[in-house]
Amino acid sequence: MRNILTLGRRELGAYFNSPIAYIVIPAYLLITGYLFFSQVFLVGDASLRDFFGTAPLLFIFFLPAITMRLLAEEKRTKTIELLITMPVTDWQVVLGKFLGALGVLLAALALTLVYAFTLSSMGTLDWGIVSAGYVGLVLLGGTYIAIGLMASSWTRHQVAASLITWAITFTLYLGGKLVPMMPRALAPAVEYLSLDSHFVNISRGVLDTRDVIYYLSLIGVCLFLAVQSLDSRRWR
Amino acid sequence: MSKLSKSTNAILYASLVIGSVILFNMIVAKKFMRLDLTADGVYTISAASKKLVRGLPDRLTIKAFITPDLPPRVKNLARYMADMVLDYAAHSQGRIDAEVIHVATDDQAAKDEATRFKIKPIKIGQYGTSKTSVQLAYLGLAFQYGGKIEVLPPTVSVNDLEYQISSTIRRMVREKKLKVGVTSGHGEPTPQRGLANAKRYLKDYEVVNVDLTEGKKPIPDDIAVLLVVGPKKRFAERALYEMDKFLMSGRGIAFFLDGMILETPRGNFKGQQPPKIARTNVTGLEPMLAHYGVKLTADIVMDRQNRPLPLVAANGRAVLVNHPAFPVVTDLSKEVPITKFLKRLLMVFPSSLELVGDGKDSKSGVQATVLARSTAASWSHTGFFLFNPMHRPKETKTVGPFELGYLLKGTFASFYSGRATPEAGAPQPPQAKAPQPTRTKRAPTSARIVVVSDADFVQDAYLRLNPDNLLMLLNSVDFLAQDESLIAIRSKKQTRRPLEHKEDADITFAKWANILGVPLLFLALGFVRWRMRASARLRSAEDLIAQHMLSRPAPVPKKARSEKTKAPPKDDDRAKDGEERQS
Repeated sequence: MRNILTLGRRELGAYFNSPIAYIVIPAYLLITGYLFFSQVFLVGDASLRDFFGTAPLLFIFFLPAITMRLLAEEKRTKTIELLITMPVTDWQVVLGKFLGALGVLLAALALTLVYAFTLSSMGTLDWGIVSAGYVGLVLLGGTYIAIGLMASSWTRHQVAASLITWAITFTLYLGGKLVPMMPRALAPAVEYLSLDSHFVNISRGVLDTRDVIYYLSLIGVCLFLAVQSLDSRRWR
Repeated sequence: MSKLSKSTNAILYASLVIGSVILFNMIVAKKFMRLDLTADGVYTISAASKKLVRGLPDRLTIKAFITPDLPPRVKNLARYMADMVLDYAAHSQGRIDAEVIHVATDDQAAKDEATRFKIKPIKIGQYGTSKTSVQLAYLGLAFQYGGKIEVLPPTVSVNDLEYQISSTIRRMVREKKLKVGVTSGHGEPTPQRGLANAKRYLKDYEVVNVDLTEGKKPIPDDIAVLLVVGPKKRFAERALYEMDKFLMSGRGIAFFLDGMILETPRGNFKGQQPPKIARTNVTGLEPMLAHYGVKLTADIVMDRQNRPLPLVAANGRAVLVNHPAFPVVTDLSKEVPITKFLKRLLMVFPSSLELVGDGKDSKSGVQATVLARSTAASWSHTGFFLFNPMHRPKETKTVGPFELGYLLKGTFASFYSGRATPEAGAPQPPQAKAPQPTRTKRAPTSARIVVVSDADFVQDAYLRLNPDNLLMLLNSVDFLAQDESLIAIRSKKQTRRPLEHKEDADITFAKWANILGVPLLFLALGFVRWRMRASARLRSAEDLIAQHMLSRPAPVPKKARSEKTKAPPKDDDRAKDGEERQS
């Protein structure tokens, strides 16, 4: 566990010591803030519903920028070989990198709490729904990061990793929207895999084990595949 | 082991893990738990519903008929429907048999059972790749109690599912519907016109007309609650007597009254929108209400906290008009069930109310509670008033907050105690001096009166513009009928939580402070961090040089030292990063 936390801390530090965090986070905040605050005062409700509503789509564009370098950069600069020769397992490397990227997401989300406090000062906010929404955002964002990490383990090119992540997350996001057009036999599976529909349930204010376990399962599978991808160097 | 067998092993291993995860998710889908974090517990069965189902005198069956492959937009409703039905059964201590029946397209037996329980398939539009098709789907709840079967239509929403289920159960268990009477004969809206929406939503009650013209007929004994909504003519003395008698019998009355009403003057306005002139609305109820404890003022309350409302323009089209005469009332009592769970009311030309006495008359045993109050940014307008929706009226010096609703509860003294019983007949102008009662006759049991100084907001034109307006009416009727069990459930749905009124400048500041301020704050923190790291690097570089100089007695040329010290931090950073990585 200590190794994982050390790797995670180092990864998080690397984000904040480079321009990545200072480009991605402000850009995300600028766009999400504009989309939310251009509507909220017109609607006149003390609710973060619109903010939660745009998050699944915005994450698709912003989180690949954070995850693309995780393993692809290590592979390109060959530092992955160095990292693997150290007394850490593949799982520890992957989990450490996952936690580092998750830290960036948490920092971005923590800054959006200002929106909640602003609305709370102007009306009665349902903090239960807000808390559930943020738990949902962490689970959703964690899933995007795990997918990004998996894609990053497949290639040494950051742009390729980013495009693969974008393609997978966009497909999973869009899948739920396209269910009516799917063949009947395929529809339930596609709908269950849809990232958005589970998040909609959570952002209503209800934490359901079915939704939470769905996200945790997807994160687990993606991290497992990333570990398998790292492990493949032994038999390739 | 060969490369091929290693790769095959890895693929098999991965498939096994993914398969196990899928299997685990399928098991979890059957056995699940929910944590409802909403403030009002919207998605959790309330104590009132649990009490209702535990007290069922006989066994009740609920069957949920659901088509498995529904489109996503109704899938959530289906899921909550199935979950909630099972929750009801779990809390009923064996009094409810619940079953979720999945009606697949080719499952004729399930379809036959749905037909037996009066559940019909509904048409749901499907957008295909090349054409739009219509799917026949089952999404309904059937209740069977005794010999009766009731069906919950699929038009319910996730929000009010619990209320719909509980009210259906209560309706089926009740032997007879209570009656709600609506007074008529004084220009009031009727359950057929003007209060048709209210009647539709008061489906747990039988809503009937009570004609009080000239007070010729008494109020029937089987009326549980009396509604007096928007009278525009004077009540006959005998009609007031009937109402007083009704109240003395311990039953409840809700008054929705206008202190001033707006009328369109006759005349030719040559295509222009005719103005509306406000006049004092005298109904004859005023002295009786003042006797009970509340005085209705002949004024119009305006508030800077308002919302646009549709008004019919001269060309017959509805236009949205933002006017202070349509106040949004957010100061609602949290002590009384009627308003406890409401967030805001949207009123239309309300008047103000005043309390007569201190509202805590221990002698009379009547207690007054303010239900609704305007904001401090409100003012009242009395006397002549010409309403033009396009012009904002000037604020007067009579400023708020004003009381807009009262609940009076207790053993009221009769308005006619010690006075002769009036005869039925046309209303007479008020006497110069009302005769004083010689003895006080009190109601034998506690009665309830709700007085709201606006009659428009519960009428068809405005009732559905704001969900809480409807809830205010339904809660008032339930409270007056002394049946408060469903008030908490009805109001539990997620209603809007309005933002308080703020000046435009405050809103603009809040908007841009969030849009630009938050990212700039983050960048500022980043800049501070970068500066701190740069100075730390500089310090460590200086320390290194100092150490180097101590270990090497030979002097270092000044130029070289300054170049080393001024080395660009970027390179240092890279070097350090490289070191960190290697370490």
